[in-house]
Amino acid sequence: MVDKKKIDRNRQLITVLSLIALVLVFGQVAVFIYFGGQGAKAAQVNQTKNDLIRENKQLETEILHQTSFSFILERAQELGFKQASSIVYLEDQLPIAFKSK
Amino acid sequence: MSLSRTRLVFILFLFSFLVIIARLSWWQIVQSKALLAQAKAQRWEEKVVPAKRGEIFFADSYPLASSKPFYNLYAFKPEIKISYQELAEQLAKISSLEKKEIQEMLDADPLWIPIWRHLEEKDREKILSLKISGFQLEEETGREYPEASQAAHLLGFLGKNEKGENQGYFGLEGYYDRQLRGSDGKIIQEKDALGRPIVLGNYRQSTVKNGVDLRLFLDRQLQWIAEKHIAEGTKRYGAQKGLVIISNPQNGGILAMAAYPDFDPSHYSKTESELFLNPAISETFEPGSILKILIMAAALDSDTITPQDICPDCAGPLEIGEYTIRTWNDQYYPNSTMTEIIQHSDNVGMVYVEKQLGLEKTLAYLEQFGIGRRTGIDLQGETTGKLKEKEYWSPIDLATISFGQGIAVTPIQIIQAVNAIANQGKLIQPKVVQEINNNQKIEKIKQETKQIIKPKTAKQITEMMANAVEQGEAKWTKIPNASIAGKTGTAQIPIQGHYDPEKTIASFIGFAPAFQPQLTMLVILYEPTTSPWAAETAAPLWFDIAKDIFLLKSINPK
Repeated sequence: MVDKKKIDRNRQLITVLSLIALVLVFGQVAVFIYFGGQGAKAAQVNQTKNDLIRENKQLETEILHQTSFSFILERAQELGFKQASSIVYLEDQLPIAFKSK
Repeated sequence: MSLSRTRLVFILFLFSFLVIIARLSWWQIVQSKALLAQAKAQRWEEKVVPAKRGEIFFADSYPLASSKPFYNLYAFKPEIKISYQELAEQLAKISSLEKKEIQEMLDADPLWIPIWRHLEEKDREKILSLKISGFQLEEETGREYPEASQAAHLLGFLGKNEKGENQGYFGLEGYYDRQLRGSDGKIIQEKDALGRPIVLGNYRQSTVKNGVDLRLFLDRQLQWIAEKHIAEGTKRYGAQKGLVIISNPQNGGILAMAAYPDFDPSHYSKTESELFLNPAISETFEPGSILKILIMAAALDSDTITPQDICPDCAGPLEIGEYTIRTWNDQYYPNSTMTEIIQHSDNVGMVYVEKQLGLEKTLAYLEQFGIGRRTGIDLQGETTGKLKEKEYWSPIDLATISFGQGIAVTPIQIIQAVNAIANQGKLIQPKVVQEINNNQKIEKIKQETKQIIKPKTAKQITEMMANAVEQGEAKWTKIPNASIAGKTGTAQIPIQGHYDPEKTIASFIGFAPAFQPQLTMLVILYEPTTSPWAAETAAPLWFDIAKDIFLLKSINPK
């Protein structure tokens, strides 16, 4: 009689332990699947980062081109700017306005 | 019977086990190293993180040379799924390559074929849009020059060394190569079967150290003006080549350095190698009359003469042994003062000054001015002429050095020496880089200064130079009402023991405004053909450049 009770308890224990083991196994599989997916995500994030760096560099290059002297000179000529043909340094400051008496 | 069957089965099992053991031994003992390496290669990914080459900026922080990724396109033939003809056709449409050229490359033996080098980002995108299997793009870092070939001689270029690595040559790229280069980093991490990183896997990293950035004294506007004028001037005066150096006399900073003809650093391989040499630092020349200001400064500083002293020998040509010393135009000015000797650029008068000064003081002062030794400018390829030892000087050598013959100097040495006059007698080392940015840590470049002549002497020689501009042979080209201290120099070119009777090197050095100088400028024209004289070639070019600079920088030269 005693033995039967003991056997039942052992069975229950084995069942619980098996369930725990099963949960752990599936849990581990789930964790590995999750992190496996994260690896792909990390690779994708890295790729995006590299693409953005590349794009940023391209924009920087474009800005530099637009602000280079050769480009500015070309634009200035298109807009009709011309270099002064002669420069005169004033001997004295010219009175622009006179104080009325 | 049953016993023999059992034995047979036993023998078969035994044999099978032996085969398995033999195979396992082969893999685990004999092939262990190779398989281990193969397994490592499958499981571990080793990535080199290339250090970014430092950038070089003008004084206004606009890049002179920046880093940029470029790509090399390779074809791996076993992975190409379409015909070579079709591939060549598609590639020819988006590239500068000819269809025939591509097909010839693909028909060659190797499995890996380099197809197209130095692609830009837009080309890379076009290649990717073709979605052709078997194409591989390899990234490399190169240089981008937003202002094209500006300051090419000063900059140098980025080439490849014998290992195929980037290496700077000449100029700043060569001088600062080690600091600009930095050191590569490395990432080692575990990867899965698809080549993706394992987040919980092992990971090791050695940090990448990017190269330093350089900020120069170089002024973008001044450099532009200098390059424009020297190119035009060299052509206008029919010279072999031309050079302009503009410097800040207060700190020795190089504001502009332009030589013509120049080269394009992004296409350096298409340039003749002799063009890489920067004439400002790598070539010596006989300075001619511009050296007179240094000899005169030495005589004034040593109290050998005063500006008002009279020259008793200036009435006509001077005999020294078998040689006759004449003035450049064979005109003579009896009883000239020292100021007038500089004004007329009088060779005979300078021989008189030299006689008073003597050999020992001459050599001592020239050394003080930095003649005969490198200036230490931060550019690769600086050379120097040497001053002869005392015992090798003959009376004629001493006479001719007074007007700049028989001595070799570099243009940068002359700039350094005249900067000292403009800077109240303080010699300051010329420098191109004003600060180094090492990962946000800014390091200012230190410059050595030394008082080599008295401020009073510097003022006296400045007055003489200002008078030479006002009254001298180049007065026709001066800027009216401008206060400029300057001196022309027309030097003959020594060839095989004598001087070329026709060819000259014409130069003009000056600073402005004379008594509060903001810039010192040297213009040299090598072998001008329209006129051999500096007063008719280098001097007008100097004033043309100065006019533009005064306007642009709002310098009132009065």
